[in-house]
Amino acid sequence: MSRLSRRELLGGAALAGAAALGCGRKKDPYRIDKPPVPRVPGWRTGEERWVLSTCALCEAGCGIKVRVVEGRAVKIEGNPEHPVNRGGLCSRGQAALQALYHPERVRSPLRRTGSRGRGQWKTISWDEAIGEVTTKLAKLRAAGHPERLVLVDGEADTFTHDLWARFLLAYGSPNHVGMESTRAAGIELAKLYTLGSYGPTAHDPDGLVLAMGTDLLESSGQAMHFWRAASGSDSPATDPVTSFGRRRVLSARPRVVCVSPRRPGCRFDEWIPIAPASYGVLALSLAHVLARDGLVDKRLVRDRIVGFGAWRDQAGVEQPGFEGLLRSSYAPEQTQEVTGIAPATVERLAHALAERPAMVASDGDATAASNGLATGMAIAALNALLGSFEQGEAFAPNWKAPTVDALAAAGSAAPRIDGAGTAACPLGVCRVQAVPAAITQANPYPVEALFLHGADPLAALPGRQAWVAALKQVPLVVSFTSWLDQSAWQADLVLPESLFLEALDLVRAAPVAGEAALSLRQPVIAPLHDTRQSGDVILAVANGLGGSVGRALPWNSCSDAVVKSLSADILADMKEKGGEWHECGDDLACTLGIYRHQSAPRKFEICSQAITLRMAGFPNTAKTLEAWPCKGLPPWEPPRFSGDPLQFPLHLVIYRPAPFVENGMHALPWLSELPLVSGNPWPVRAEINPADAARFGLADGDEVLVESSVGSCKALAQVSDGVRAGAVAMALGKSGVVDLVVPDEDRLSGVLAWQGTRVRVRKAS
Amino acid sequence: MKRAAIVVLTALVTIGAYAWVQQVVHGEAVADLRTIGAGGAVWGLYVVGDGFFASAALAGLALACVLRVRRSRETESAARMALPLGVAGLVASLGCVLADLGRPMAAMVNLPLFGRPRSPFFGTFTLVAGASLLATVVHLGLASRPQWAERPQTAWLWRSLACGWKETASARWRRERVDFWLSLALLPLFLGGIVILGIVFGVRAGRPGWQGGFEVVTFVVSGGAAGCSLLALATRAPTRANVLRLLGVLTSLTVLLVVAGEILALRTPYSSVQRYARALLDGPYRNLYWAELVLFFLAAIMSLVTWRKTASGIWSAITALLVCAAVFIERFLVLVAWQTHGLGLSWPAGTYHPTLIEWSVFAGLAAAAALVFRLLVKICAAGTATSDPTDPPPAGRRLRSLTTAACLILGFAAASVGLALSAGLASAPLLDPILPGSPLVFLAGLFLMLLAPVACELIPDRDSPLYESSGGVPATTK
Amino acid sequence: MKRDDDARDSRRKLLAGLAASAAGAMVGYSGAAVAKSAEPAAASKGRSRKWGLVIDLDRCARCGGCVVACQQENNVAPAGPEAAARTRPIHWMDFLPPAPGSFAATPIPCMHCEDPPCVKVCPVGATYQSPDGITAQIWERCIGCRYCMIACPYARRYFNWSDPHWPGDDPSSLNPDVAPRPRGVVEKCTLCHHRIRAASERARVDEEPLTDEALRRLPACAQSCPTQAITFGDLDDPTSEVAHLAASPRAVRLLPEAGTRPKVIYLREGK
Repeated sequence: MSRLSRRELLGGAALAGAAALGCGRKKDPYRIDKPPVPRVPGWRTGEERWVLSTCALCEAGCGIKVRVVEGRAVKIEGNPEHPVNRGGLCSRGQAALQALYHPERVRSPLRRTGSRGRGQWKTISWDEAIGEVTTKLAKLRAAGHPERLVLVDGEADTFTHDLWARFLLAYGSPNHVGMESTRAAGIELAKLYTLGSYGPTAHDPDGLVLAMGTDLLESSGQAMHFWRAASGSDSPATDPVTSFGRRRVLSARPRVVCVSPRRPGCRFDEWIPIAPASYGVLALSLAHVLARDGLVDKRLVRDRIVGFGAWRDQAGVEQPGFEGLLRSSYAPEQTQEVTGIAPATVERLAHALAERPAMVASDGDATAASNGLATGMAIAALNALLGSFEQGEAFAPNWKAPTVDALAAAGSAAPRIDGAGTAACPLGVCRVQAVPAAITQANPYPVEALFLHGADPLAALPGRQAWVAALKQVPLVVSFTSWLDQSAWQADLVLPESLFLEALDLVRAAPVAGEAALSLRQPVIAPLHDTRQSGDVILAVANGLGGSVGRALPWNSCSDAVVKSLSADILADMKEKGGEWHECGDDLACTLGIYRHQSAPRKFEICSQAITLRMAGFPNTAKTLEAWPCKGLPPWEPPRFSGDPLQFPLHLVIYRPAPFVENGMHALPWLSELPLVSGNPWPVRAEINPADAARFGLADGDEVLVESSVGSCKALAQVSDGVRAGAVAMALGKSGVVDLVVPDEDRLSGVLAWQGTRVRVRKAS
Repeated sequence: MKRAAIVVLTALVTIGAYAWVQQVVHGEAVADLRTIGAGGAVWGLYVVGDGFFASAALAGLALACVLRVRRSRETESAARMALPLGVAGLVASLGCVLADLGRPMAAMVNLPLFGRPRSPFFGTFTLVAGASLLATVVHLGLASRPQWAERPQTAWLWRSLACGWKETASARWRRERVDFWLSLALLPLFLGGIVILGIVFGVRAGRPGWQGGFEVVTFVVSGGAAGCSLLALATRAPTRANVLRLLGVLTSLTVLLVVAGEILALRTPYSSVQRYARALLDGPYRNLYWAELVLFFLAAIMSLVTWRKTASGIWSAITALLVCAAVFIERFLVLVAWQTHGLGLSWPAGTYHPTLIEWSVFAGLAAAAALVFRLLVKICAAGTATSDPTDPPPAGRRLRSLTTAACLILGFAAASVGLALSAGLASAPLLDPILPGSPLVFLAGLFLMLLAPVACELIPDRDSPLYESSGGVPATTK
Repeated sequence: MKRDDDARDSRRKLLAGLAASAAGAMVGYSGAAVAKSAEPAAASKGRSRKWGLVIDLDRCARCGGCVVACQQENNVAPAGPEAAARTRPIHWMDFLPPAPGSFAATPIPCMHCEDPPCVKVCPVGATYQSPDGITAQIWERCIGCRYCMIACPYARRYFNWSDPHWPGDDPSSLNPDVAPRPRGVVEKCTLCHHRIRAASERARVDEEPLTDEALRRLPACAQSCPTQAITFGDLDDPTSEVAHLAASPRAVRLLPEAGTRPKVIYLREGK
């Protein structure tokens, strides 16, 4: 008997078995031991669907494709048609299933029964919960103080965020406090003041990418885009030079040079260590070399940039331009002392930037210091000289402005609780870290109700004690959350939010060069627990309040609102580009909704008239304004560090590692166990340079205590030359790290100074 | 004194059993074994114990076989002790393997069904744990029959164990022939077993070059030293001198091999082997490594200085214990240091520190082996046959010759067929046995062959009293 | 009524349990038979496949997406802080720490060697090489001796030191196509052979050839890779992308001196 016949025999049996699959499972050779899973009603055995939606684990808004088997979501994959990720998906999106089936999700609305923070809860019904919120808000309005409602909102790029904004507008509270000041506000504000639009910048990496800070390449919403660009994935498949959609010539892909005190964990071509929070002066120094060596495109400067040479402001007064500033200062030899980068390196980098299409890219890391806005402006100015800027306009719903009553108008005109746009923070748009002090001091007014949506400030922001104290003074704290996180623990009402895989929403995906995609998020499975998405709750509350508030939000549900808020042409565009889109009753069933649009270019103002105008509104700041060498360009100043340099000799470098997710989801086990560091990935690590380790007598793997002037944190020392000497790098998201940070900020823009803390490290005894 | 020892040993066995139950309940997570590459070793104390006990037992048995074949009166006590020692050592090594397996129950089913001769593990479970253990038990039982037949107390038990031993010239002649031929036949089995164990310990894919082969030789020689030292512990004065002399030679050889192996490892072009050698010389294992060398060296000197005189009991016991400790460390280092420091890729270095549970199980097994040894020494007296070789050959018996020959031939055939089938000689390489269960056929063949000496000894002569007085008690001794 | 259901349910579970334990011994064997017969349609056309992966280190962003994709697809339970502290997490797709002098971690799945040392040492044939070149493992037959882990020069095998545990004991997100592994067995990358099997079955039913385009992103790691650094395909098919890439001057294999001839091929970083 030959081998072949035996194999044929087995093969035959297998095929016969496969054929018999439908009629009986008796002799199924493909049988595997199925995991013991609970059954979901309404699904047949073996039934399988793929549902398209949009990821929510970072602000990128990647398209996802979820495999649902017998009613259970079992795998998340990238949507190949989606412009942001084109089929790939990073670790965070993949791990979202662990969030969906997380054992600690809140399963129904909860009302606090014991004292604050004791964790005693009573399960209540949604009607009760919504009734309670409505009653409180109605009372607040009746008392004439709608501005005393504060919403801390962790989302910025969703339709739900727009609903909240409209609700607050109609209700009469100016206090829609976003979390941008803790993220990339420095960069986004720079874009606002130079180009006139607020939001993430669209990047078109080609040639050379100078990344300032590591988070852009690791955890930001742009990371996916940069990974794909830097690998050459974007080259068209039809290109005859490439085979299988790949660039044959490796040098054709963009080169990524990363400038940061810490070496990035993700792919890069060159790493240049820099002193913490001195990116701005590096940008100016590079601009200096460009201007000095005549490497700036004259036509570009003439046609698209305002304020490079001497210019006339609106009053007709001639003002010195950026060029004059650069000529007089910021030579690489002068900045070396601040940045720690050799002049030759700066010269080489500047020439490399000028040689080929290049861009300077950065996210929150670069501007998270006391000189945040100035750094952001310097980086934006450098980008302008390189011709790498684009206005970009994001999608907005086709709503007419709501007709508000006098009460709401008066409330909205009240100063913001966080002081953004006041003398305390003249150029910022939000300043969430200032909220606790404002609540505790009842300045400018007491807060009666605090809503937390997609935000866990107690865990995510420094100054936890201040937050706890502040929350104690607010009569009603409502947390819209999926978990009993630290902030929800202090709340009066916990309204469990459906996870993004159970919700319907529209997402403004991270802009890709020249395109702004609007991506539909739809429920992949029915909510597992008695949860609702917060959009539905707002609509119910607005309905309950009635009057002008109810009229401003007239929709029954989020899905109703989504359909009615899209202009006919966007809807048509989505239907056309996104495949099937059909409305069935109340629910939307759509395989994909993508809407793209491109915006017209606008002139770039290096010397921002918007800044001048805003600052002029505050008499006290006019003096400061005079001292600026360039009108409308905040001068770069060395960063302010909290902590005595003798007592705390090291700089704390806070970074967001690749698996970092806001709102506690970084604690998902798979993300926590990602083998991107060698050894046990769970404990907190303090990365330290070998020179510093020798100086403080530390060895790799030692248990150390990192102390700042406000807190301390136990960590595992990781001695590595991936950190600049004089700095300790610690990843955000691990418990205790955030407590080390002194909540200092940029006084112009309210950007939280994550990188502005000094620490000391010693062996834990 | 003796009673105290037994109490202590029993307590150790109890603790070990408790620890083992803990491991069964919670899984091998209770051990300090970790994922290889991620910073640990997947084989630890248990496999070290297996290598140590099995190699010592097999070496002792092989030595005893040589002594038995030589039929020297001087070394009779050594040969006598070797069989109980062998059984005890093999039992302990079997226990170590079972403690190490992730699914011992599945192993009981799957090894006989799907055992694959290409795996060295096949050799260890068929030849070492199966055939060697059974052969030694059979050998021990046959050799003890004359003594069991003479036991006065609880006569029925001993008489049934003695299986109708009758002190006749024919029986004695057969005893002697069986002893001789069995010893001769088992010698390659034992040596094969120890070499296979050496291969398991020494040759690995991740360790290219000559290093692995060198370690096999070291393993075999040091195994011989361990076997010798155990014999030296268990034998009385006149023989002990001879054993110690051999121990001296083997230990000296081991020292040379260990040193040569280290130099060889340092000189190889492979970074993984060099890293391993460095870890021994001045890395985390340096204390153990130097302790091993010192112990071997001391033991070599101690056994060599008594070359020309008889050593005292204490002296030889200390020497033997030094050798045992050194061999144990040698096994530990070869196995564990290679896993934590000898990997070819840039995995981080690992650590392995056996947990209390592992030590308890190990100690329990060692104590159980000591108890087994104690019990066997008490009840068995497997001396060499000492009858005058000039005795005339007694009249043969056809049934006996036929049965013996049939056992041998059928057993050999079954073993060959079983091996061929399980090796999948007729099928593509590296696939399953042609017939599930053929390893069982191989094992059964080996056992059948072992039945040959049993048949030869147990089938009595025609004039046996068993046949004459039906129902009557067989007449005992003359 | 509910009681009845419960009773029936528990009876069925009991029966299933009995049947399972009775069949236990043979399941391993039938598993092997299945795996052997599970070659795709190509084999019946007289051409055998040689599955392989090409990992382009120049494209790899080190984001870790492949790691989680693999864990989700193959029902790998997270280890948890205690087990992770003892270096026991299971990552079929892992990251090899950078070698001295370099700082680029390397994604490293099973190498699926053409001459796999792990297969040679398995005492029970729990690990075997399928005719299309996948080094596979039959969980049911493994006895947990870990000899294969000792033999593998790449350390690409994992032992289940304790029972797999999913957060909240909720197995809802488990992939129904892959059997979870019990405690005491060794597990490893299977190149997502359930996906290969499904794809080839689909191609057979549709009576269409299994094209390279359909295969390139088939395994979960390759599918998830944002930069398309991982490519899967038939190394024996000269028109396939993997064969094309494997012929690149940048192609290297890990530990060539081990003589294992890996079918996972790396493309070095370019300039």
